[in-house]
Amino acid sequence: MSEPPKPSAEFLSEAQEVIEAFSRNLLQLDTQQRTGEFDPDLLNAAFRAIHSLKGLAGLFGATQISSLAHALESTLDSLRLGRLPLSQPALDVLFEAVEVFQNMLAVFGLEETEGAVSADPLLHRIAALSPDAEEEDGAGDIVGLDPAILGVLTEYEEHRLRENVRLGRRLYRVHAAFDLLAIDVGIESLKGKLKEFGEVITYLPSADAGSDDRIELDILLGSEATLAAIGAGVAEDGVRVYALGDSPSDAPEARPGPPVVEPSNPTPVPSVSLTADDGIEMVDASTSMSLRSISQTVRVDLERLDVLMNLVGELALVQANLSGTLESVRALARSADVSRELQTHLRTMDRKLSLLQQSILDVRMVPLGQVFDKLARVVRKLGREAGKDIRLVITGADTELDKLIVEELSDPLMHMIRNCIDHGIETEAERTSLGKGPSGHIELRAFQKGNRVVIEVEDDGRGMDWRLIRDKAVERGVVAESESREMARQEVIDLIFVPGFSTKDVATEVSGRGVGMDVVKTNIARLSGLIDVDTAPGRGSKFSITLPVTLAIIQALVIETARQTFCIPLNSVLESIMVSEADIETVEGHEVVSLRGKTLPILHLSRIFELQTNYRYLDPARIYVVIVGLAQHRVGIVVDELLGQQDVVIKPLGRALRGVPGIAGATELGGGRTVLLLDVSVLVEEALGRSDGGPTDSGPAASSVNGSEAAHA
Amino acid sequence: MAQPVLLVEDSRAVRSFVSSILESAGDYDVHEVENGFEALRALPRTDFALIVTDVNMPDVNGIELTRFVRGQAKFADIPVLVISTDASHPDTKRALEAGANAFLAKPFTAEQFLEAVARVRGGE
Repeated sequence: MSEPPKPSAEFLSEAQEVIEAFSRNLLQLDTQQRTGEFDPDLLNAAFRAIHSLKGLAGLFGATQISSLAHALESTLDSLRLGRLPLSQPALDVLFEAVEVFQNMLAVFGLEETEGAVSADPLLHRIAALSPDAEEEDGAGDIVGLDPAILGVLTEYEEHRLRENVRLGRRLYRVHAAFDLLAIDVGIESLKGKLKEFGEVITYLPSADAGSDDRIELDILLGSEATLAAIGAGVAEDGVRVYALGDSPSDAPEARPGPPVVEPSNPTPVPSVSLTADDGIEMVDASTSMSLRSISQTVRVDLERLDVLMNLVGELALVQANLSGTLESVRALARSADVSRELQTHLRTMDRKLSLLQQSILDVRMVPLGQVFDKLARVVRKLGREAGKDIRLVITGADTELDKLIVEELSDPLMHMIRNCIDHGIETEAERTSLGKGPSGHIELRAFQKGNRVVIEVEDDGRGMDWRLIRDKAVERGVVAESESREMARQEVIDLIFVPGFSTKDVATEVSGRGVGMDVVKTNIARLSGLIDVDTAPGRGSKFSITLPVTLAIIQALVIETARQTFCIPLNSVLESIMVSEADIETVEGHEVVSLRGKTLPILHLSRIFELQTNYRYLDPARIYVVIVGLAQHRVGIVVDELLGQQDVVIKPLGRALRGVPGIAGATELGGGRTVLLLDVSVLVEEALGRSDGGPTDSGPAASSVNGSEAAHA
Repeated sequence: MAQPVLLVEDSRAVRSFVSSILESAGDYDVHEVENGFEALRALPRTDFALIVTDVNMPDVNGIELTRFVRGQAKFADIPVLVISTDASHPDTKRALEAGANAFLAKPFTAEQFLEAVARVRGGE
């Protein structure tokens, strides 16, 4: 039992949480530091995070993390004790530490990786931040507190006490009594009120508390407010406030301070007794929580959820089979009662199954905040590197998405933010000459819209000039000149998503943000997402990403072609149309149909998957074309039958099919049939690769399309 | 009969590590709480045989908790074992001055922890 415990998932998840909390503290401190004063509580929280990480990492044998935390802890200790000023260079080092810790965590537990992440450069930078101030003056002579009280304060609390005195604040002792069962609620309420007046330095539980159900506390408060003002502020809570002796503003410096904090005896200094009852107003005990830990979260491995999800899927199949049985029972003439009963049960089961499915999906949801925090660090770092002052405004960080989607979003968003800072936001001088104000602004918004989530990245930088994009696109051969002249403004702007357009020199020349946007688009498309852009020269750009909330379960359109059944994710299906064989034209060797004035490339699954060598239309007069779209591209898929819509649980492919392009996964339909799910992004790319580009104008041929459209709303 | 132990520690992973040491070593019933306030709530409810506490916690810290326990006749005899990362930190000394029976520096092994527990409980 002498070995350190195994590098458990518990350690990794908590270490990750601690580092994320640390990063959030830093981001707030950074903003506050730039605008002036910062909240000492934030710095203390940052210290505590690293202190916890050190202990945690030490216990679990993560020596590299532990020693880096140790070095950082000293720096943070100096910072919170005021021995080292909080500067931007100091924050740079702390932010760098977040990245290094995360890299260390990423490799921790893997074989032979200790040392794969080097902390040396960071350790040197930490060492360079040596404290420049000396130890604080000796004991209680400044404050005149009872030494017994100073003795139970941590070093940091003592420092804050002195700091409050140095800032000319008065010290108060706030005496409150709490019902033990509801102490956390009571304390939070009182803390909130006291914080409006100044700084809560510590809480001292009274040693002579009376009954088992109540506890008395003394709270040390530093404040510029008067005793009467504070008294009035907490009046309703039935709390007593005492001023502590020698507050500097009204005490001659030579006077020895009387020992004023004696929790067991209210001091003789002026005091106000605010109510007869000295108990704080309490929440009814029946509504208070239990003695057990207040933490309500459990971490679950996604794989375990997948197991549950598959079970739900299988249950749905059982249910479908039962429905089949119901039909057979119905067929027996004399079983009307039985079949009615069975039907009622089946309906109930159906409802419960949907609920179960929804509950499991909910568990997979995580807030976008994690990714946004990471982006905020990048904005700060790149902004400083580029010498641009950039303000980032984040809204909707609590918007939730499937964990897998959130993870996959990080890279594309990072890329967009990078473009934004490198190419979108002007230099300070440039902005000032344009009358825009020296700081650039980036807004990162997330919100739910129906069953989708929208993420917007908007800046107030240069924006993109669509005419320049058009000229560049022609120059690079992305579109023909004749073609480009007929394109609408938005179509031209969308060219930034086309591979081959978005190279660095183009981006700089059109002063836009087109670098690598084709890759961003592909990543988003892989998540069944759409990306749009809106931009105006001089005013900035706004990118909007629309994503499904989850990928684990999707609505699918079930189709049949060449006697094979496939599912198409419904969120990429735009519409289905019916054409006749005569509507299908061949342009430059590729089959197309015309749809509302545009040519639409079509593809045959039978050819792509080599299902039938000589495929023929089931009925040449009634050919279904399912139009799918991803990002801004549209392609039609020829099918023989539309079998209907269904919720399907996506299962990973077996070894034989893994890597087959165009197939995203498998699912089971009723009757135990396994059906393949199409990977629309690959199919669209395939079709566009063949037909060389997106939809183009083809004039009056539009009328040739048979108008019968089946919408899949 | 299982001995109730109050474990005050804000790290979830450290709590579960310490609990597993105690529970696999013998007849201990570990009550885990994550901060000083929760410790104050838990104290009067159970007749604890031992308190294991971290020092650096927000609001009511481990030193204040120790001082409170020592000042109350009905808790005064409960042994207090302080666990923290740094033996030389002034806060460690303060915890001992406030009445903690022993201090154990993190990181520690299961044996070291159980030895420290035996030491602080030795007086019974």
